Amino acid sequence: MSEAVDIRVVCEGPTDTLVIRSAVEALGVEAVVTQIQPENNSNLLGTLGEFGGGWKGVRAWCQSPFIREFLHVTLANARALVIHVDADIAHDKELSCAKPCPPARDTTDAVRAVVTGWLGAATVPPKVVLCVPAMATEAWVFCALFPEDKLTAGIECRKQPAALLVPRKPRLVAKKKDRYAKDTVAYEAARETLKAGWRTSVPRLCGEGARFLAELRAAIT
Amino acid sequence: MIKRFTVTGFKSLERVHLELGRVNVFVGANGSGKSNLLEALGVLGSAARGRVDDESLQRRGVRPGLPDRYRTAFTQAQLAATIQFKASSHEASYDVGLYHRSEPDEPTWRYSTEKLTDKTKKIVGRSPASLKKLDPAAGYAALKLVELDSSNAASQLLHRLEGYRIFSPTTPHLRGLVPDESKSRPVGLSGGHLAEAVQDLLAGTSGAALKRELLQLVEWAADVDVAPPEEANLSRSVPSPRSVVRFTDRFMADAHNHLSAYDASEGALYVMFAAVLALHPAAPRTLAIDNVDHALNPRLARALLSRFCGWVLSRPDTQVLLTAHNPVALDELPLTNDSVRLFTVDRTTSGRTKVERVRIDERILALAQQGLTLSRMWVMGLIGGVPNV
Repeated sequence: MSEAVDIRVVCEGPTDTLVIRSAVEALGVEAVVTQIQPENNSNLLGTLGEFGGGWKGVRAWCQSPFIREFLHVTLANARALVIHVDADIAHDKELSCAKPCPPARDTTDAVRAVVTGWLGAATVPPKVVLCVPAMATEAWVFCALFPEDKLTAGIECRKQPAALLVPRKPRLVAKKKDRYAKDTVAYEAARETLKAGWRTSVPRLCGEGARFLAELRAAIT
Repeated sequence: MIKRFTVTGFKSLERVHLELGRVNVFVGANGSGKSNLLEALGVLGSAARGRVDDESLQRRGVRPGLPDRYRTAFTQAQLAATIQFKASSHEASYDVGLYHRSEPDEPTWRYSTEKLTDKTKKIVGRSPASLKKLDPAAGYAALKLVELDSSNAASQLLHRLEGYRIFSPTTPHLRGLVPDESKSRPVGLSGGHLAEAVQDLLAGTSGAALKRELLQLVEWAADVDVAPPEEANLSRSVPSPRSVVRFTDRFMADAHNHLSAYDASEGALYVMFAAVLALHPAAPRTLAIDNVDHALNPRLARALLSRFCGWVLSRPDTQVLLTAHNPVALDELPLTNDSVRLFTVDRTTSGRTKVERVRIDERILALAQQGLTLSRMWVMGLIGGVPNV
């Protein structure tokens, strides 16, 4: 067995890590995938870890002076650091960098520039792989699980791909008032399907999925 | 000392190689394979003794299980035919391949290969072709041991391996509420017979100094000793032992201030237990404690591990393997001393256990200079060994 590589993940939430891990598995790379942001422990105020969850947690992590100064040392033993945010953050009024879609790439490029800026860098730092699904990770999940569904057409421009998963089995996502609750156990159970999807339908149906997979492959193989 | 240990094909350990120090701390997610590592050394210890069966494994603290479940069996990978173990000291090495026949009434493992060497020569060698000449259920090295001088490096390595034990203390055993069936010395594998072992330590030449150290860790106690049960104010409803660890509570009035092991804080008992294994002359020269920080307040866990390292390093020949879960317990480990080593244990994407030594290099020191503790680095995921939950 070849030596397993270490991959660290900074992402919006734990199901994103599971989807990213499936991509690693699809590449046939033996790896230890460790989610370092968000820390899945809430404080008394319900904030996840030190930086909080969601895209603002990713931003806080990247902008932390400590992380900025020591990014290279914290990555010394890791093969790659995957930083994930959904492209739909471009519509947030704090960022307001959304572009007309299609093509989705214009918006993801804008978000990638924003994330690179969070790190205080002009270009993506060594070992860092940006993972920006358009418009959210669930687009990739939907294409992995339902590759023949006609709604896969144009899915990268759909603002809430999670909504597509709500009525379908397996039940990965539930609608809870104003948010979508993702079931980590169900995502875990769909692991093999997600992995198979990364080998076929996800890069075929999602240009940003193909880009992420190619950049991940370049970083870890 | 065991300097290197390699295991191939045992449970989740498809192939793991360790470079060990005197104190070796393993941290990782539940189910990452930490206990498997400790047990792998226990299997090798049984092999060094000359027989690998349920009884010899349990005597060393290896969890009993179906032999078939001991072999690595990952999906899409060939089932390993043998499990291979190798331990090396500075001048000797012992290498064993074991297999098990699937018959349900066959409790004993068989030797496929075996090799014992010292710095000058091969002392024992067996291969599958030797089956006709040698009893496959009996260790050849153990038979040869009687011919070796006790100063021989290979003899010392075998003795160290066969004496290896895995201790997993539990509060009922430490209190003496449940009998400890293991015959292990100086304490049972689950913590039984603690009072007798503490008595030995406190009666030794360094007993007074040790008592001071123990009382620094158990701050509510003004004194600790070992007393016969009639002097320990025991309830009639507890089993009557030969002797009892007794604490003097510094806050209680005279005549009301003696607490036995039955009444005392369990943390105090775990402290005593660790001290016994680090310092008692009858303790195994190489031993493991699974969940050394069990039941301890984080600050006590931190102080105990720091003190424990000092105790172990104060003795010339003791070697310990520890598993821990409390992050704070790591913070005072003297890891700049190469004899004290920290390892993270992870499962890879395919479920294989990966063990990595955390090297205290400029990277870690730079983070420490920024005020980041090792516990924080661990919980943040910067050194590995954390689950994604």
